[in-house]
Amino acid sequence: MKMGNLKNSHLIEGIIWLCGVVVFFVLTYDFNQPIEIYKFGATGWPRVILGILLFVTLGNLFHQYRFGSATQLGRVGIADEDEEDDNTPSKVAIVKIVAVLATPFLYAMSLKPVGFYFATPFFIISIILLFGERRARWILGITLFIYTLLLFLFMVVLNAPLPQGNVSPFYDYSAFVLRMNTQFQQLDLW
Amino acid sequence: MIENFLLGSSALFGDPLTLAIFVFGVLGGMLFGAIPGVSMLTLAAILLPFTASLTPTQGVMLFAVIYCTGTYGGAITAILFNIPGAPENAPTAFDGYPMTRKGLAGKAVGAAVLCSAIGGVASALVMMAATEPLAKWAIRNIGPPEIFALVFFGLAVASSVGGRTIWKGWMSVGLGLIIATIGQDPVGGIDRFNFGFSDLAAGIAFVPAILGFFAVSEIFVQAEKTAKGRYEAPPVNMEFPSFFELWQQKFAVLRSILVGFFCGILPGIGATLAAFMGYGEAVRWSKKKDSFGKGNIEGVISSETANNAATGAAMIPLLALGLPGGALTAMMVAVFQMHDLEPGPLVFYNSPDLIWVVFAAMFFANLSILFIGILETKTILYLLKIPFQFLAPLILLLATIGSYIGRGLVLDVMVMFAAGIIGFMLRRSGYSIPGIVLGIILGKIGEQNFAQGMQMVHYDLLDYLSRPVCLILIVAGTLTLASGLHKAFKTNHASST
Amino acid sequence: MKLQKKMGAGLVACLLMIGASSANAFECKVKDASMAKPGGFPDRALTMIVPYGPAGGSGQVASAMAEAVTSLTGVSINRDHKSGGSGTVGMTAYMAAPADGYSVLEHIDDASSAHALDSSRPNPATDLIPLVISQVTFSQIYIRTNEDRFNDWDSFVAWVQAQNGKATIANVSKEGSMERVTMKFITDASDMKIQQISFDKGAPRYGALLGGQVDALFEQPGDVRKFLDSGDFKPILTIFGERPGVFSDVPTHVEKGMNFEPLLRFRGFYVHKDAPADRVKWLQWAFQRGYCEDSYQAFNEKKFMTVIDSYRDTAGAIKLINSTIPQYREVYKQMGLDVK
Repeated sequence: MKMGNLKNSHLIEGIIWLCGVVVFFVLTYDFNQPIEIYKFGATGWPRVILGILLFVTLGNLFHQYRFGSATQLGRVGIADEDEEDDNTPSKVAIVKIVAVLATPFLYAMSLKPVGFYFATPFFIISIILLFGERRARWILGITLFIYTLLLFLFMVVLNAPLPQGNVSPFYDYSAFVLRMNTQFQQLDLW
Repeated sequence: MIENFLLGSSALFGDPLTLAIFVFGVLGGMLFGAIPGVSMLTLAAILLPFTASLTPTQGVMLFAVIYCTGTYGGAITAILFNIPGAPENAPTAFDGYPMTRKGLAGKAVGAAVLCSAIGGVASALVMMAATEPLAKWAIRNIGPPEIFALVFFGLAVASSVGGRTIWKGWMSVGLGLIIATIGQDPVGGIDRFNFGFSDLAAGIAFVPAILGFFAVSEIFVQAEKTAKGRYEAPPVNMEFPSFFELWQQKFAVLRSILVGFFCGILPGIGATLAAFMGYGEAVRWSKKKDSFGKGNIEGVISSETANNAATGAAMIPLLALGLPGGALTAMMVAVFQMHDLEPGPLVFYNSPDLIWVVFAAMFFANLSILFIGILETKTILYLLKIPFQFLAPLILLLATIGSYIGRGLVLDVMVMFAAGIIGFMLRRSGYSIPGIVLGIILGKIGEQNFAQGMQMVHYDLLDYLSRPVCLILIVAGTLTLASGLHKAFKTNHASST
Repeated sequence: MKLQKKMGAGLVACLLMIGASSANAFECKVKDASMAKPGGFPDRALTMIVPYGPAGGSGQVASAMAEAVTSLTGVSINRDHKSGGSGTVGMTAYMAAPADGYSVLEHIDDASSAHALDSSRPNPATDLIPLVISQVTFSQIYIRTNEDRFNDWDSFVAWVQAQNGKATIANVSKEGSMERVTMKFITDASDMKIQQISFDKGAPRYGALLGGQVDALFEQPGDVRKFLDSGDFKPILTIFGERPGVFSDVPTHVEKGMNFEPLLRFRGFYVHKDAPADRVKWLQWAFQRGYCEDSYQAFNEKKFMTVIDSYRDTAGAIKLINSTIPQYREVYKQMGLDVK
C-alpha cells in the first residue's frame, strides 16, 4: 500500500490520538445520565469535543499523507528552530534526563504522606545534584538557604497551609516545625 | 469629570497616610506579582484583615492599586524565566522568554513596563469617563450566550495561529478542551472522567497547567541541555526598546487596549482572556506571523497592554453593579463590606469621594509602573546571572507552592509536573502549548456559558443568533475556522523536518 | 422610577434596623468566658479546611469565625481552601488528615445531602462532631423591582404558566442540591414549569437577574442583601414556616398552599469523631463562644443571619442534620435518583 509522505511516526502519533478519543468516548458512558434541566446532559459537550478531535486527527493524518511533517507558513507557538537538535544523547544523558523528569513527580507523590516540610530539603539536594553541582558545601548551603527562605516566606509571613503529611513520624516533624513557628511568632520581636 | 479627578487626586496626595498606602500598594503589587508561586491575590488575602483599620477609601484604593501593579508584576518572571506570575501574563512569555534567550530581556521588559502603563492608563481614563453607562450596557447586552460566542471566537483565533499546521493547532486546543471536561459537569455537578481519583472531581485547574507547561518544562529543557553539556546562561542585556521601535507598534497597542477593555468588562472573563485575545489578534493582523513565538516584541506588547487594559474595565461591573469579575475584585467587595458599604449603584450616590480617589489612584498606579518598573527592572535582570543549578530548585519549589496554594490539592502539583513532562515532550512535535493552555482555561467557561445560553434560548439556534453580539462573534469565529481549513489545503510549506 | 427605587431601599433599610435591634438583644448561650487548654492544646496554629473558595458564603463565614476564635483564644487558624467537587474534595482531604484536633472543617448542608444520596460519604452527625452551626438561613424567590410583567407571587406563577416552560430562574442547580429539591417542591405544588439555569458563582447569577437575562432568582437573603438595599431586587416568596420579621410583607410558601418542610441552608464547623475528647471539648467551647464574639455577631447581622435563630450547639446541630438527611433521602427517592 502506498503511504504518500506518511511515516511510521505519523501513524503511531495518529493511533495514540485515536485511542485517546475512543477511550474517552467509552468512558462517557460512565456518566451518561440525563439531567432534568439540561437537554444535552453531562455527556453532550465532551462528546462534541471528542467528535472534533476525531475529525482533526484524521485531517492531520491526511495532511501528513500529503505533506509529511512540513511546517505551514504563518504558524506561531511552535519550537524555536535553534532548539532543534539532531545529536543523539549518550546513555548517561538519557538516564539524567529521566531522573530529572521523575524526581519532581516522586516529590509530588510524597507530599500527601510525607508533607512539604520533611520532603523539601531532599528534593532541593536531588535537583542541584542532577544539574551537575558536586561541591558539597555549596549543595548544603544553597539547600539550607532555599529551605529557610521558603519557610520564612510561606510559613512565617504568609501562614500558608502547606501539606503536613499524614503519616508518622513525618507528620510529627511538620507539627514540630509549626509549633516552632507559633513560638517564634509569640516572641513579639517588633 | 476633570474636576472630580482633580479632587480625587488632591485627596490622594494631600493626606500623607493615604499616599503612603498608595506607595505600599504599588510596590507590594509589583513584588508579589513578580515572585512566582505567590501573586497579588496572596498579598490581598494577607492584607484583608488590616483594611478594617483603614478608612474605606484607603482600603478600596489599596486593593485597586495592587490589582493594577500586580497584573504588571507577573510579566517580569514570564519574560525572564518563562514563568508567568499569573495566568494573565502567560502570553507575555510566548515572545518575552525567547527574547531573553536571545539576550533581549531588557527590551522585552521595557516594552512590558511601557505597555502595561499605557494599557492601564487608557483603561483608567475610559473607566472614569463611562463607568455607569458602560456597566449598564454590559449587564443588559452581555449574558451567557454572548460570553460563549466570545469564547468560541477566541478559541477559533487561537487554534488557527498556533501549531506547526492548522490541524495540530486544532488538536492542541481540542486536547485542552477535553482536559477541561475532567471534574464535574457545570449543570448537574455529575462526576466525569475521574479515573477513580476522588480529587479529580475538582477538575484540572489552569494555574498548575500553565506553571507546568511553561516553567517546569523549561527547567526540563535546560536540564536536558545540562545533561548533554550544552547549557549556556542567557546573555544579560539592559538595553531598553527605542522610541522608534515602540512607535512602530502604535496600532498593536491601540488594538490591545480595545480587546483588553472589552474582555475586562465581562464578569468571569477578565484579564486572562484579554491577554490571550490581545496576543491572538496581534498575530492575526501581523504581516510577519512567522516571527511570533520566537521573540517578536509585538507579542509582549499586545499581551501586556491588553491585560492591564482589562484592570480598569473589571472595576466597571464591580463599582457600578456590585458584580466582581474575578478573585481580586471579589476581595474588594469584602473590603467594602468591612466598612458597611456595598459596591453597586448606590456607591456613586453615597460615596462619590471614595470612587474618585480610587479612580485617581488607579490612574497614578498605572503611571507609576512606568517609573518604578524601569528602576525595578534594572535590578531584577541580574537574577539571570544566578547559576541555573541553584535557580532550578527554587523555581520548581515556587511553582509547586504556587500550584498547591490555590486549592490546597496535591493533585494540582502532580498535574503541574505532568504538564511539565508533556510540555517537554511536545515542544518539538509541532503542537501548540498555548493552544492547550487556552483550551483548558476557556473550556470550562465555554461549556458553562454554552449550557446556560442554550437553556435561555430554549435550544433554539435562530433565537440564539438573533442576539447581535452572538451573531457577529459566531460568524467571525466560523469564518476564521473556514479560512483556516481553506489554507490547510492550499498553503505553502516552509520546511520539512 | 428612581424615587420608587429609593423608597423601596428605604423601606428595606428600616426593616433591617428592626432586625438589627432584635439582634442586639443576643444573649450568649456559652457561660464560660475562658477555658484552660487541655494538656497545652493547642500549642500551634489550627488548620481549618474549607471545601469552597475564599470569596463565597463558606469562605466568608470561615474567615469571620476564624477571626473570632483567634481574638478569643489567641490561637491562629490557617484557612485551607480545598474547593471543588461540590464540597467532596475538601471533605475527603479532611477525613484523611490526622484526627488530633488540629484540623477542623467548615461545611454546609451539602455534606448532609451528599450523605443522604450516597451513604458511603461521611455523615456529618456521626463521622464528625459538629462544634457549632453558626449560620442557618432560608431561601427566597426574587424578581427585579422594576419588573412590569409581574409583581408578586401570584402574578409570577400566572405569568410563568402562560410561558409554557420558557420562563427562567437562576440558581445553583446541581443534581440533588437543596436548590433543586426545593424548586421541585415549588414547581410541583404550584403546577408550573420553569427552566432552572445553574450559575455556580454568585456574581454572574445576580447579574443575570439584574440584566434581564433570567426572569427570577432563587437565593438566600444574606447573599443578595446589597441588591435589596439598593432596591434592585425584591423577594416575592419566602420558603420558611413563618414570615421572618424583616420580610413581614412577603408571603411564605405555606401561605401559598405549598405544604412541604422547608430545607434550610446551614453552615457550621466540625472536628473528626476520633479526635481526643478533651480537645474536642475545648474546640466546642472556642467555636461556640466564638459565635458570641461581637465581630462574629456583626458579621452574621450583616449577612441577614440574625433574622432566624442561626445558632446550634453540638446537640442542636446533630438534631438538625439528623432531621435533614431522611428528608433529602425521601425526596431523592421520589425524584428517581439512585440513593445508595
